[in-house]
Amino acid sequence: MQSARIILWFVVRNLFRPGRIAATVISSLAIMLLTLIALLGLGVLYGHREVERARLERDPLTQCLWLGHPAYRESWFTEERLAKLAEVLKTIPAVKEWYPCRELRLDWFLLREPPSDDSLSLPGRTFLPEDPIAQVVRKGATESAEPGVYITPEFLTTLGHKEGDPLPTEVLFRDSVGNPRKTKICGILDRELPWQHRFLVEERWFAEHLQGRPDVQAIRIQTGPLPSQWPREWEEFPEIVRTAFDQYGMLPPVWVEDEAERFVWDIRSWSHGGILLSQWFVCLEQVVRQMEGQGYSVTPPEKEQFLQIEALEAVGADSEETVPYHFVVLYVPELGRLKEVKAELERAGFIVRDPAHTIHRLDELGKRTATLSRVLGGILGLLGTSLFAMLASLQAMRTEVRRQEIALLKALGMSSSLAAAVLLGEATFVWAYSSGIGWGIAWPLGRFVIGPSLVANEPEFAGISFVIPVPTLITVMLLILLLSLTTVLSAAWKAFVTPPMRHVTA
Amino acid sequence: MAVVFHIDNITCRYPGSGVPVLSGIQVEIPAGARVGILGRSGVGKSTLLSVLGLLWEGDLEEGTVRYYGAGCDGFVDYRAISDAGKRAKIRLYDFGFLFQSSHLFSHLTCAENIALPLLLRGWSRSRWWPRVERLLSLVEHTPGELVGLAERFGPYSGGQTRRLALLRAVCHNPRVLLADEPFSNLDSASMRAVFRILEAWHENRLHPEDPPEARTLIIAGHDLEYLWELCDHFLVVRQGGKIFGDRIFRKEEITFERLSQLIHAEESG
Repeated sequence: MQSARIILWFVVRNLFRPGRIAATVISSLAIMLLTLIALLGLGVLYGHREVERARLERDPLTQCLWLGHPAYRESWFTEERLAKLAEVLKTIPAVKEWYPCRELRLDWFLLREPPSDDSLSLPGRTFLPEDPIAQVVRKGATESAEPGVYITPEFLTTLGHKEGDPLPTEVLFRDSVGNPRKTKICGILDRELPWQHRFLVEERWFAEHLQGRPDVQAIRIQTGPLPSQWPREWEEFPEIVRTAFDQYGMLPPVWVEDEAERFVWDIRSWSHGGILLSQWFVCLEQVVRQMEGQGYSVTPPEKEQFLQIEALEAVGADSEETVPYHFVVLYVPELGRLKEVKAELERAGFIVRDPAHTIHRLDELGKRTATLSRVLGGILGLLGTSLFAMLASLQAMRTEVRRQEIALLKALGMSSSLAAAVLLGEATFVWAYSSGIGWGIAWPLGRFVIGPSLVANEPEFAGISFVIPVPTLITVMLLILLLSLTTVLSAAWKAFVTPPMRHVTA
Repeated sequence: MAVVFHIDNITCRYPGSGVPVLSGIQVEIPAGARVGILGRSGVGKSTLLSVLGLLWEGDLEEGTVRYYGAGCDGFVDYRAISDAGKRAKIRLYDFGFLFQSSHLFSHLTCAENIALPLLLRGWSRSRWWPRVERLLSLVEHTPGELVGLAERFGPYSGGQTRRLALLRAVCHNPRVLLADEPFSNLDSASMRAVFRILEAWHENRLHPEDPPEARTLIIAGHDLEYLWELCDHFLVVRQGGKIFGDRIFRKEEITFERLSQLIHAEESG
């Protein structure tokens, strides 16, 4: 304790007295500058990483797991399976919310003027009003009592919208009985959706537009009467039509007579899960179009009659039953626990998928931060080396003067260890207040000037949080201390070995 | 009579020098004595002070010095203490030094310069300040001359510098004071002040708060008149680093004229 007091006494006087202050100011500025740049760089880097991470965490699309798969009937969520899931999730508190939803594949008409009959089948899904995805899709959208569709940018480009064209406010789709219907575009998402979904609709939209005739998965259907011009044998149909059947998942049709003794088709799907009724409609409409292309004319009444499709064999339900939920979206706010939750649900027997892009984005963020850390480390290394050279030169210039002083102090009774400790103490003292000042400038500069300039356009991030992990902060500060001590190491050693002065000459 | 130093046949030389600076010196210095070391320039007076003050870091070539200090168990054999820390501790607690050319630190105040040995002992300012202030007042030519400088960083005149260096040497009340040319280049008033302080310290009057004990003053110098007045023992160092008569003279055993004769004989040839 007494030694520490003596060291401090000499340190303060050696640093801040006339004739010494200039060298002290130079050393202090060097250490302060190094600390400032190091902490500012790291603070902004890690702060920005936190913002990026927060973006990911706030984004409902990146914090979710998906249970079930639309293509596997066994994984669909009936009332019974939803109850089982609820029981399981009681034991997994990391899951904050969960919502069932349905996958839809609807036929959307191309965006052309005048309107065209051409349409494309695009997948999407439903969501419940409480689902966090609702916050994303409604951002920037006008409140409306009328439910509509939320679409992705790709939805528009797929349907032929070109850059510079006015954004459509409505879009045409084919309902489950094949009739074109208009729906309002409630919002255009600023990102793509997982699982190649191109649109989102609320459950109430689904109920209003599609549940009038449930869009069931049908393994077998029956068409209306065949157009009069069409051949009576399958082999006589054009090759392109037969190929299309296979592509759409349909087996070759069987000719059946209906009650009015007209020929209709009885078609099975080769897909185990069947085909949505609306999709059957789309496929058969394509067949009509292809037949017309091959020279088999079809009158509008014939077409309308032909497309009167009946589901003969629906999967797991008769045609009157509501389609069960195809999957469940689980929200896990702590991204680090996604894998753990996934494992627990798989143990409970559920098919769990995670959107690969979430993990990818997290990995990318980590890699980018690591790369930037290395770049910053390189810059700091160069700066540190330069400052080290400068401070070491400064010390070398002062060494001879200091040696005479130390020799006299030793003659008066100062021990070698105390002499060395005073020099090391000076370096530590300069480091302590200079790095403190550096930190004091770096924090507000990063937090209130540089940070906001990096994320100025996002109101939810009013500046980066200027975060430096404690181990990193300690490591950086210790490295700067080490640098500071190293510059006086040679002088301290010389102080240690300098003999006491025998004759003092003026 | 108690002895403070037993110099036992020491020979030493500077590194790289073929000629020994001290050669076969064997003498005892009585405790409480005021010893004047005389001799022409370059004969080794300062080196002898360095050796006695444990400032000679190079090994003694031959012989040894035994110091019979108060804190020592019997004596300290200089040959046996290689630890620089122990040497520093003896210098700090037992010895005071007044070097040939006084050196004051320009970044310390006048008072801090004087108090250095006390600071190295860990004294707080509240403890050393009254002592330093009193010492300053004792060597002033005019009231306030030095006390007024106490908190300042100089500059000082030559006489002031020497007086301040002397105060630094005695402020911690050492048992042995080793003074090299304390009277050189001083005006008579400053010489008198130095003389008074040395005498007061030796007679335990400088620090009345400390217990009295035998204090040994060893002065190397040329100024025979002042040394004759101040000292009671004399060593005459001859060319080649030997002691005249191989002994220390008590004042009663030698006359001023004889001493003067010896020194001048050395100087002339």
